[in-house]
Amino acid sequence: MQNKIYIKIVATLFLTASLASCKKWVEYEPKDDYTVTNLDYLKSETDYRTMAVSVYTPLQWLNETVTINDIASDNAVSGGQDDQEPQNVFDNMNFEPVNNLLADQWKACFEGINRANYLHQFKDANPGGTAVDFAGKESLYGEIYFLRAYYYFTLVRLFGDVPLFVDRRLGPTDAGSLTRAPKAEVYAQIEADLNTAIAALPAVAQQVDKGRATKYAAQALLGKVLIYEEKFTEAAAVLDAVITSNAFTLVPDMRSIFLSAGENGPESVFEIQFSNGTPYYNWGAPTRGQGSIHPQQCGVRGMNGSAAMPYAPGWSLDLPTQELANAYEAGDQRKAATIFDVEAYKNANPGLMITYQVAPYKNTGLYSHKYQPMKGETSGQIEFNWTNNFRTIRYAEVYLLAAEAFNRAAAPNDAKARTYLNEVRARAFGNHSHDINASGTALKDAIWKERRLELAMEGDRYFDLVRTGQAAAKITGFQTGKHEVFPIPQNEVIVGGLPQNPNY
Amino acid sequence: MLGFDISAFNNKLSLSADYYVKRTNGQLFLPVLPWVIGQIEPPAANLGDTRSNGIDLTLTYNDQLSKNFKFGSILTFTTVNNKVLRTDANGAAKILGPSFYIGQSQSVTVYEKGQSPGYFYGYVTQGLFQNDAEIAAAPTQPNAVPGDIRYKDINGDGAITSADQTKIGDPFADFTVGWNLTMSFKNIDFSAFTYASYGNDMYRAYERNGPYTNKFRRVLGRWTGEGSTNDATTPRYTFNDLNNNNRVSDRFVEDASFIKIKDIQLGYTLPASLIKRVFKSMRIYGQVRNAFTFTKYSGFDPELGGGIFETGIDKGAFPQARTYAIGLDFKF
Repeated sequence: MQNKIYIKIVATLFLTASLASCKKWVEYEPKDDYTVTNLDYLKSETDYRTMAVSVYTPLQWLNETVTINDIASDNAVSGGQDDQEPQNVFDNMNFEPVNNLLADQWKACFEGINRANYLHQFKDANPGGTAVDFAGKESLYGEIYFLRAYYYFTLVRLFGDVPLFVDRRLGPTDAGSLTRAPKAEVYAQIEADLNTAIAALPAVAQQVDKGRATKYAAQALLGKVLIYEEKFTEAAAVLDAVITSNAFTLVPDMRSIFLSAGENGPESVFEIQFSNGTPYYNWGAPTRGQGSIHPQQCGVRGMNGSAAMPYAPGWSLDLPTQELANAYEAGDQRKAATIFDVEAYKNANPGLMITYQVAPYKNTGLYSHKYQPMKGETSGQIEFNWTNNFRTIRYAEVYLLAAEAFNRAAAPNDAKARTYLNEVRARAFGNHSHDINASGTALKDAIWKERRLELAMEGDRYFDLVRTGQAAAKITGFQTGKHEVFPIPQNEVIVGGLPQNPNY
Repeated sequence: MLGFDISAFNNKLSLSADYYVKRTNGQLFLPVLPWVIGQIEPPAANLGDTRSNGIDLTLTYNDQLSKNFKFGSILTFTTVNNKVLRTDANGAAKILGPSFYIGQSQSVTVYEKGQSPGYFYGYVTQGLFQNDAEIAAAPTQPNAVPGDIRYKDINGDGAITSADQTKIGDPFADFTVGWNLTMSFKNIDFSAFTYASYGNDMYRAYERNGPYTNKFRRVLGRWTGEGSTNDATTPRYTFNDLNNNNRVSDRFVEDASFIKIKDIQLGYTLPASLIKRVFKSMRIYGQVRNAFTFTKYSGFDPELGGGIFETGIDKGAFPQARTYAIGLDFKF
């Protein structure tokens, strides 16, 4: 009897409980489970400034941009251990939509864009709905828009049309509704972001915190973007503004720019900063640290010698071609600054007791000097933590971009174009006796040639060949109508429903 | 599940036939999202539903043929038809297997609604180009030269692109047969288990198709000039493979149907009179496991399991070893 009553009571309670909860949705309060939710983000100036740094982070994941670009171009071969190196397909021009290196570029850029968008979304009010104002907020947002433009420019150069979204960070529910915006729309957005950045950023050569975007970095990047769009008149104006600011100078000794002491120097307009502050070690995702893997790739295999020998060993990837080496005239200091002939160096320095292993695959005997690994510039898992910054925009390139813009503008100014071009040549030769005296198309060709010599092994050559229509003539295996852009990752085609680039 | 059982001849012979449908709901996957939305990994969710159906026949025969001779045989026949019913909330997602590297990073397996789970996805080959005229007449395949593989223009747009990839294999068998035979004569017993699988495909992912890697003997039969061979598994040999003959294609897919004698055992039970003071019984036996494999598959082992995306992908895993064993069974 006792038991029966008890059961009845329990049954009634159950029934009541289940009726009460019989709503379609459960009220869920994230705070019940988590101590920190998105409502705790962006509550103070420090929060905004810290999160802005995270927008820079994916820049450090773009290590392979330089490698891919050099190897795909006529400047370098893949090298490495053997044909199994993933970079080899860029040498052979037989890359396919399933390619981890290309996927890495795509992922890094879109992660950067989403991070920038998140801050953009909560610029006026934080996720909790409160406005957080502080001195320098506009300038900080200038950096964010600069970065968004940089990521989109990287994407549009690599892949052509790409999904374009600027209002907010995307989430899983957006997965089904992605489309590729025409290249022209992407470029228009890049221009808009850079113009916003130019208006907001300080007119200094370097921010106190080195590596942050400046007004001049934004102007230089805008100038480059406008040249890719063939808007030469506008490009000439914005690039000339950087030059006439007199904020930068060319460093007389080119090699010194690429040494550790030369980082963020007087010629540096924008650099991607790498550090080994928190050494990284994940072989599963080698580019996701704060250090660079690129010097490791460029190093000579088994490079060894006395304590005074400054070079560290590496993987013999991204080897300059002899044809590039031959392109430099006698007396051009850029040859030695760009190309490291290890055998010649060994013979010239018997005291260093150098031993090394000849590159096992596609050996040219030449190595990229700009990003040679130097002893003491990495730590932890040494392969991933090189501190060598990418000298992404040097003042020399601003001169060459301006020269091209003035030469190709609707109303050309070849005198100015020549002056700027010859500034770069004068640094290369140490005097003005190698000045170019051409004009018109001959001057244009001279500027393009100079771009190759000045910027070789810095990851711009392939894009230059494509935009100037020379790729098919210079690159073995280049197919017009296909290789102007790389294939977008297969995942985005299959899962995201985006159309693949033509002929891939 | 639907079935019937009959037996005849004093239960010596019995047949059991079943039609089965098995659903596996909510296989755990990471939701696949486009990388455009950023790099934050979504939590794993119970996304995949698959259904297997088929028939299962079991024929059993047991007989005591004489006072000393016993005979038993169990023959099973199973057909399997696997199908993916759901891959994500709206069922549309196609999940790619992880990529691996054989001279080019490759991703072979796909998990897609309406298909066999982890089927092989790639290009279909149509022999080799013998001369320039054939290349000119074929759908546009840039950079192809005589001796390169000719791929099939699946979508008929006149060009070979990634849109021409299709199903090129299925790692699951159409049917399997198992046969268990037992015999005993006086104190001697014998048993053998034979297993056969028909229609399972394998993808040769162990071939390293790079210039300086070791080669399989079949490279000796490569294309060396017009008319030398039209076999798509042996294109011309080159250090500069602009046609990308190594792309995922049925070049690497083989029918891995097989018959395996998995277990043979011969035993002798000692006469009770000999040992009854110590043991109830004592049996001594010799056994061979994975004794024989009959297959046309050129790899090590045609029977490779694995996860959804690994089944049938032969990366050169160690084959199931043939083992010899001698044993004693005691009963106290």
